[in-house]
Amino acid sequence: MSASNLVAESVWKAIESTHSVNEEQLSVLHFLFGKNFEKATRIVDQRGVKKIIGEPSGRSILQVVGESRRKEEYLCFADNYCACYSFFYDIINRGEQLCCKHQLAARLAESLGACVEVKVSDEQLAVLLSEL
Amino acid sequence: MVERFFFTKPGDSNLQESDSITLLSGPPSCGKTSLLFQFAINSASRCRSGNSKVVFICSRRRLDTRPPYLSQGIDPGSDIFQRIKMKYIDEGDDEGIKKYFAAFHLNDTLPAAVIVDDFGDFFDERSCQERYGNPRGRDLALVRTLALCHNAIIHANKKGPCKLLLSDTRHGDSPRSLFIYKRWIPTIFTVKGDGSGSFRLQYNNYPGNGCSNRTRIAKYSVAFQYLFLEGITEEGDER
Repeated sequence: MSASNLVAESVWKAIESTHSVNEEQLSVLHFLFGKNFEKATRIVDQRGVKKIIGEPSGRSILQVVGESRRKEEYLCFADNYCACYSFFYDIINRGEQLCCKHQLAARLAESLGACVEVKVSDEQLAVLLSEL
Repeated sequence: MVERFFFTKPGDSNLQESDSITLLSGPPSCGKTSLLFQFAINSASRCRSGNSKVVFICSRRRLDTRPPYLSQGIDPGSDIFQRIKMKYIDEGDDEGIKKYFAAFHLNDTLPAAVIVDDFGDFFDERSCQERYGNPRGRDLALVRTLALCHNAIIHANKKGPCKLLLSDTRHGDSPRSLFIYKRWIPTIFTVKGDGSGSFRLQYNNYPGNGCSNRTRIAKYSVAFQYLFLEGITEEGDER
């Protein structure tokens, strides 16, 4: 894991332990992730992160609203996947960024306990995941 | 770590716990399927629960054409094979792989290990390009499926140990999609020919993490239609 990832992980864990974020933590995350983090905070403030949880297994996936007018929803695993264009081209292909804004929004919302939780059956979750 | 791909005696303490997700990469016809099959046998042997199984996913056509070689000492009639469940998916059917891992949490009993042979061959260039309307369609499909596999296995491990082992054929120095695999797979083993008909299997240990740089290398052969471990050596310097 890179140094940036390690620093980010420690901040996420600290936020998760208190379900709150302070100015210093925001500052560190902004330093690490730049404008993507700003956009992520707006998405979280607008309650744009949904956690879809399969019952009874507890397996889940996140759905994050995009910032464009079209309000697309992107399926996301916070630490390592997003369905958006930026994830594939900027992160996987070019390695230019650590995370896209949707992943950051997902991680921030999860750490703060600020996801809108939607419970579905395990079968419904399987169908959703198969369409990833 | 390389020992897990070879025949081990019961109670052998050298068999360390493996990482949750592993890739075995090697050139064509180097015995990858045989190594995977031995890994399946080892995993099935170590299952504490009588209900635990190992799932081996592969193309039926490939397996029929080139069946794996067993190690000497393995009885083909052993009950252990009852614990290895074969799941056949057609080459080029990456959607089949996705569906399996999308529904992984629906299993009543999670397997102790899932092994996917020739993972890359399930992703057909042309059909992926058509599906996604993108010249990088195959890479897109690989990314989505690996993310799903990773999520399935990490979730499964919250309930009990569950390993995922993939193999991929390497044409040239490194697997075609190594930059994608590395994103989700922390442990990568590579196989290289040694020029004399035998092969060397080693773990790709990346320096700089404070660990020893010594790496164990297994030299093996499949020349006589069984998997034969010639020896394990250590190379590299301590740091």
